[in-house]
Amino acid sequence: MDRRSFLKLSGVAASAGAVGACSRASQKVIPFVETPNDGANPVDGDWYATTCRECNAGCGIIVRTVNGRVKKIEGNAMHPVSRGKACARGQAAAQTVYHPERLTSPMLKGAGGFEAIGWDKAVDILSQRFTEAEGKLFFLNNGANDAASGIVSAIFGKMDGFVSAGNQEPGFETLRAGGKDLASFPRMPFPDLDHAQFAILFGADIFESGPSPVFWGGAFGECRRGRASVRGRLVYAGPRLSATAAVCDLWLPIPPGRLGVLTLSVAQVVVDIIITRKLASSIPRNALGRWSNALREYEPEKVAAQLEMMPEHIRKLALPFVDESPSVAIAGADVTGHANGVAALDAVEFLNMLSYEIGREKLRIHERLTPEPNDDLKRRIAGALGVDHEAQGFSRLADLVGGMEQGNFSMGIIHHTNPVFDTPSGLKFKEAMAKVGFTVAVSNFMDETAAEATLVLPDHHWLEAWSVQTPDFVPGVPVFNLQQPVIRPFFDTRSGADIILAAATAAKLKTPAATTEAFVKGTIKRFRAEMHGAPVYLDDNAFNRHLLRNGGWWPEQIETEAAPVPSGTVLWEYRDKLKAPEPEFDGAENPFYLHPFQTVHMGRGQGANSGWLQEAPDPITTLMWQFWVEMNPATAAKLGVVEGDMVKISSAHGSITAPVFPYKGIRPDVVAVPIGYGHTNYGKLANGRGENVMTLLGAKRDTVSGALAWRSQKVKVEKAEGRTKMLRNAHPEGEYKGEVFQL
Amino acid sequence: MNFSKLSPTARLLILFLTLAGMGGGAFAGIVYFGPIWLTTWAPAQPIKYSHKLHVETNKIPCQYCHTYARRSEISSVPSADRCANCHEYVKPDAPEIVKTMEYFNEDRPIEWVKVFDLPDHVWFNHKRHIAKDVPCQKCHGPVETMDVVSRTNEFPMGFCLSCHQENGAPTDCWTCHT
Repeated sequence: MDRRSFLKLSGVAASAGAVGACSRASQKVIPFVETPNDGANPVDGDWYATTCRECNAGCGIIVRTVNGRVKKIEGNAMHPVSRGKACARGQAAAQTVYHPERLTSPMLKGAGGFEAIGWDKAVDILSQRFTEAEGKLFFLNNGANDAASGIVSAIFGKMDGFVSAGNQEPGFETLRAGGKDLASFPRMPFPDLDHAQFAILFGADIFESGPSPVFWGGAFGECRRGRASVRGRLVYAGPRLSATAAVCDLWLPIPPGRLGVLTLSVAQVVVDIIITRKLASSIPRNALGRWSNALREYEPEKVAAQLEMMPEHIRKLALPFVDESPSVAIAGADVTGHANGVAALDAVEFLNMLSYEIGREKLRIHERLTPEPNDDLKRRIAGALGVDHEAQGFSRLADLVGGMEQGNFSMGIIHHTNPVFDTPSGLKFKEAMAKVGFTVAVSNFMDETAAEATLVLPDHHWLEAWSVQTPDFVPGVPVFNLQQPVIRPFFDTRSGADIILAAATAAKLKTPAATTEAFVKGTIKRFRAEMHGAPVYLDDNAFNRHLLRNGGWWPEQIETEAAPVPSGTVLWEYRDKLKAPEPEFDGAENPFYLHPFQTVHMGRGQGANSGWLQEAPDPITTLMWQFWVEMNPATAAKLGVVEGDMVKISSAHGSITAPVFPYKGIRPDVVAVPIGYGHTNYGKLANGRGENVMTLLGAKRDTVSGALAWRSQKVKVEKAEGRTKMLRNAHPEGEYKGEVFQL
Repeated sequence: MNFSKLSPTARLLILFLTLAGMGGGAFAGIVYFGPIWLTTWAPAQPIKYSHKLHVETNKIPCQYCHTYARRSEISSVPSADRCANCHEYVKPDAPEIVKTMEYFNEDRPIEWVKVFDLPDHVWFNHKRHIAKDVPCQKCHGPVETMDVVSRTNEFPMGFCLSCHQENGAPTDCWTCHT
């Protein structure tokens, strides 16, 4: 730059500075018109208890608000699910309240795209549609058990033609279905990791996905450090060293779909140990002998080759299962993600039964096999919130899509879920949605599904809204979670459930309450008498306040008494289930197993529009703001690619390109791709960032439960054009890249 | 670039631009820091509120309205509901009070113009000073005698330091510059 232009520029800059600085003189102090709450502290703020709704785990949280603005989210220490902790996604909800892309006005799709309409008109249109639909409508949410689903079921539940379904995380359905024959109530298995000394995780990525990463994180802390003289030991078996596997003591890279075989092989060795050591158990001797024979085909020597392990390593896994009792087996995504998932889950259940039999200390691992003291209450709370477990599964979703295609519905309500993005392309949800005359999307953001809807209703953020929720997986504890508005709504949004109520009232339908708040309070009143431990002397208003202060109700003491185990004779009936069928794969001729996985940040893609979550490094790869495919360095070398090179991954259903991240913690025949990237209509932070791995999947399902077998896809991988710089925060093998301490 | 080879016009232009730049900078400085230098900064407020009338004549303590001074970092300007508490009954017909109640009834906040301010790199905590019984007037001047609040103090660093030294308060940099 020459002197002249420098001087010119400095003159311009000085004048611009002078103009900009003028505002300094007239700073305003703008107090509230009304103090928000007696004793509100403008700096330290107030803490309100509520329930996190980023997923369906139902973590109790406390939220710090200052001057009517959300500042910080933490776990509620009294809550049985969160135990005072909150995950990254829960904490990032404090940012999404202020997201500039939040929807602020109801929108109706016309010839020229969406057009903003007023709330009155939106209610009018909705009520008219309710009248015209005459019950021929569907309600699809994310599988949540909450006020909205309770209200919708109460209004439409009894009408012919009404279908309610949940687009739940894949795998939950299989978790419920496993051991169903012995369980009195199909519910999630919830092994007692807290008190276990030895745990085998069968592909269970429990700290990053599944029913509740926060709960399992707390259980892991208890298992490792909660006891003075015991350090719990964990072994992870599965094709990829996930963030969960990374904190375990040992990783066994088992081929995909073979975890049932490994489980039964371990069980066979355990049965033999019980017989040879004459361990005390309630199982009759002859039953043990018959089991041993029934499991003979799973002897370590016979299955070692297909597991790509040495027989003595399987025995080494079974020994501590007996010696370091109490021990547990936990099944997860690599079990439920395959078409033989239910069979493998039955095997895991069987292993847990054996553990219970020989355990020096009794764990709560049998909660599925016998009725619990609180079962009935749990079921009734869930029932009041419109929960029907069958409705939360993939089978019901697939049936719904079939019904949509056949034109069974004249309208549909899609409530806070994005099936166009996060269901496999083989399901063809988008195409089916187009065949429904009128679809309503209740959402905070424009997303791929809302874009396909006819009417979009911007909901309050869950931090601004009333609801009641119940998680269905916590063993022995009925949890009645309350969700209260901790701030006044930030935009001109309305509670989706309130709008449905208003429209239903206008359509002269019978509604359970006038507003969501009234529904929540009515539900409290309904169950109040059974909330043991809550003060009985309070009047209704004071009781509501008491529950709101705590964030809800749950028994103070978790029932710890072990449930009686079925006798050996009953268990013998189980023997036919103890089989590990060959895994089936879609596109079996392709060379690589596709391993889609959830990260704690992105979830199923909901996290992709959050700056905080995109910025947070992935726990394994330390990548930020970026999409990737993990493959073994040997595989990468064979394909002739290095870190950052693009590869094309293709199946019969579609193809994606992604930059390579070579990672030693993955089998050479597996490629792993994170779920939740590749949005096309979810705001500027999410759009075009990576590609959507769900487009590679057909809709292959578990042979027994009908759940989506989302890891049973094989793919082709080939080198593609282009290269990307990988935004790594650190080296995944640590600061010294494994060199210094290598022995 | 050789300066002597330039034409007289160019030299004049450079001289003019230099002066313009310096002048602009000075102007910016005055506008930016002016309110701090001009210690009689007494802006017009949306409501003609008189501290003299409330505090000196009617003996209402400062912290009746500035409730958070003893509880938090900031002293806070009262919400309109605090005005309404008394003025629903006390002189409800006075024109300024009618104006105040209009704000309250229409749910509109009163946008007061800030009189006292500290730069962003200074951290000040009201609560601690009140806990040590430092009178409000020590920093804010005799507000109780003013009909219109004016800035009587520009808060240079020496002002804070001298008081901290006299009273044995910490004088580490990070006490204020945290």
